Amino acid sequence: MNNFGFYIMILGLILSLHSSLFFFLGEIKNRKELINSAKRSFYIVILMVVISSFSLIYSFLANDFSNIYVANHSSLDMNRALTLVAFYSGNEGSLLYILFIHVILSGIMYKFSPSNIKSKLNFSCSILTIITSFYLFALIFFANPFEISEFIPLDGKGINPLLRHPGMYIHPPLLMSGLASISIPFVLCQGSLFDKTNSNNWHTILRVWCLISWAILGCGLLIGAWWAYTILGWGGYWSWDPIENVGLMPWLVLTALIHSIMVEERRGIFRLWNIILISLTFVLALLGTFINRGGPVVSVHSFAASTLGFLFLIFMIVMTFYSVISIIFNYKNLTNNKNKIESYLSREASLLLNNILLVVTSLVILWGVIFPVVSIILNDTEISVSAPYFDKTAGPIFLFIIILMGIGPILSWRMTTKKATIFRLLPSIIITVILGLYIYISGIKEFFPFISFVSIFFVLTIIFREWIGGTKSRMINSYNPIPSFITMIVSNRGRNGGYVVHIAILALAFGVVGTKFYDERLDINVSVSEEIEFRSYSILFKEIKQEFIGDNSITKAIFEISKITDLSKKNKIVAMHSYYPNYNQISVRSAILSTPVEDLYIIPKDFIDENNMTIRIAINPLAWWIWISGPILILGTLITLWPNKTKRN
Amino acid sequence: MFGMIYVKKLKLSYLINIFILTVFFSCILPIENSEEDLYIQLEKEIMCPVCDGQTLDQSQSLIAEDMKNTIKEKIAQGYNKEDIKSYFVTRYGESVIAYPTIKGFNIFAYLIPILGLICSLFIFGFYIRKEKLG
Repeated sequence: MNNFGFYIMILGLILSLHSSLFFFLGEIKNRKELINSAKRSFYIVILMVVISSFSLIYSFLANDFSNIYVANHSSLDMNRALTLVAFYSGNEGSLLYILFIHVILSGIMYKFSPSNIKSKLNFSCSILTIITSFYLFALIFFANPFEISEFIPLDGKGINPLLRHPGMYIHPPLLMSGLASISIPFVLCQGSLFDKTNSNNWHTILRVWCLISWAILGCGLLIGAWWAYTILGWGGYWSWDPIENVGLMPWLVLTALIHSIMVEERRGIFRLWNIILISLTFVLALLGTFINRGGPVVSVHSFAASTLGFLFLIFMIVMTFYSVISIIFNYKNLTNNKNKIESYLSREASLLLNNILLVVTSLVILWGVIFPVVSIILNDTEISVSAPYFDKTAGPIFLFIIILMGIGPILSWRMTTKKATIFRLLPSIIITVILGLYIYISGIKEFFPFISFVSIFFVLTIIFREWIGGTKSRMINSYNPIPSFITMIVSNRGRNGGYVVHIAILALAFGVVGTKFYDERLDINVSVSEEIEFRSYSILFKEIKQEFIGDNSITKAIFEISKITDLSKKNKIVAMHSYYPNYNQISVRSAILSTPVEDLYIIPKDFIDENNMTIRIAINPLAWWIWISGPILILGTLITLWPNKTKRN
Repeated sequence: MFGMIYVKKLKLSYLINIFILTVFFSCILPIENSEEDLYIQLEKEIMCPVCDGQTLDQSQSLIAEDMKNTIKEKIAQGYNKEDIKSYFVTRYGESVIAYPTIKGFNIFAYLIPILGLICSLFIFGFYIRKEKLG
């Protein structure tokens, strides 16, 4: 089976190169039969990748430990449900997984493109298959997941204990899919450069694919944060680790792009800028893969560390070079538009500012990621750049982006008068001032959190004002606000879906500011049946339990929590240490009692004996809002993406 | 008349820029959360030297636990924040601090983002001015 999977990959590489070449030649020489041949290979490559992926899964299911990769990432007693996680838990398998997603998305993109675009996709497909070939090349020559060892071990090493968490079914695949999916809008954009008719369909399809990438990547990041929060047991969710950063950077630039595509769709300007943005996103995604697989920075996400780094570096440089060349060659074509930005107070200008801030944030983060390397090269000193740096540099820019998020959407296209803008903002300003006073009186007096909370409420009131206004104007014929509200939302899905996503971002920001500035911690030794009071909580340490599952020993600490004000209502939460002898590793799971106001978070630090342990009790205010932003974000994206039956003009 | 509007709008953009930069600068200055325990502050600002980019509060390794105990002892002995930090710097090198300290070459770590932000805002302003006039 292993040899089979390997040979299928080789066949895939040959066909993929063939497809790439024939798409290109067919387009240049305008020969239909070449393109048809390329198309067939294109689809067969997808089949080949799917087959080789399934043959690896088969090896896992059959416990074929002659396969080195299977032996290193699986064991006899491994829960079969974890096979999928084991599949992408290492360097080779994750690369195959990325390729799998890449080809599937390529297939979907090609198959479901509108017919008037499809005939112009040849060039895009040529680049797409080059990317496929690159992955296959890397897999075959540098990271073969089907490599066979001469000695067959009796049992495998087992899957990394940190990965045995429900979040692991979603976080790594979503993040890798997100990064892989960026190549689709990239090739579409490159393809559109060759279409001189500038048909408007490009924008629609581009916007759809950007949104899909954006939502996948965003959810991947968010679920990663949730995983860190629940399993890493340090009370945080985002540590500004280099690998987290390289996932965040393309996401930020993509955010900029989905905004600026609107401008291009509407007014035809920003075409050059959009192509720069998509190329930047693509290069950043490749940079992410490079840093993840053996880049020069240290990170906790070392699961896929390998010698593949240089390969991705070369590919990244080639692609950067290619993007720059293609932009230079099409420069004239990209900038010949008669429309111009007419005022600072216009939607276009606010979107441009939003774009600039997002790109600057992304580059600031990039600078932080590479600065340790820069420091070693130029200053010969080893330094660390971690959370405190990013909080201070990227944090404030995020705040402006949020403020802009409120003002931008209410400005009209082309130009608005100052008077009209202020008039439209007035109700929100009044409510925000009142709320601001209330916040100040209730004790939030530090500068940054105060400004942040006020801005968040400001933007929220603007969105609600828009919605209330829209609903009211639709209520002339009916007295029930709910159907009017729904028709209002449906009537302009792009805009209202956007608003829903904005609300998700506000919820996220709300939670981040709360946890960042108002977290409290207490380290304490406790013994069984001891009762502690911490802030408004009464915490009863009930018992310590020991359990064995296979080789792993699990020590559980059970707590009973009640509010001091209401002692009758008790909540039971469990914190645990799981010890995995194969990895000689302890995985810590914290006990969390989550409410919209705050999370009570108990980290089991050390089990001293049967009755005593050290714990850290933390209060993470508003953390709940960070996790609720995920579903809202998905809802908003779905509203935006839901196809319109009637075409808007 | 045209000049008036022009100056007015320019003023608005300057105001926005000044606002952005003040907030940015006020945030980049060290934030001292007086209510927060000195120990917890230090835990977030000192790296665990052996655990690949984790700060002490994230790490559960033995050396991190050791260092946390040292911090507690030092605080009990009355050392201040800077003393404790420099104690660790002499033992483990500068990379034990979780952020580039604002001195020497490290200034670039902060200077580049600030300059980048200022330049991009200027480019934004000039670009739209050019667009409007052209």
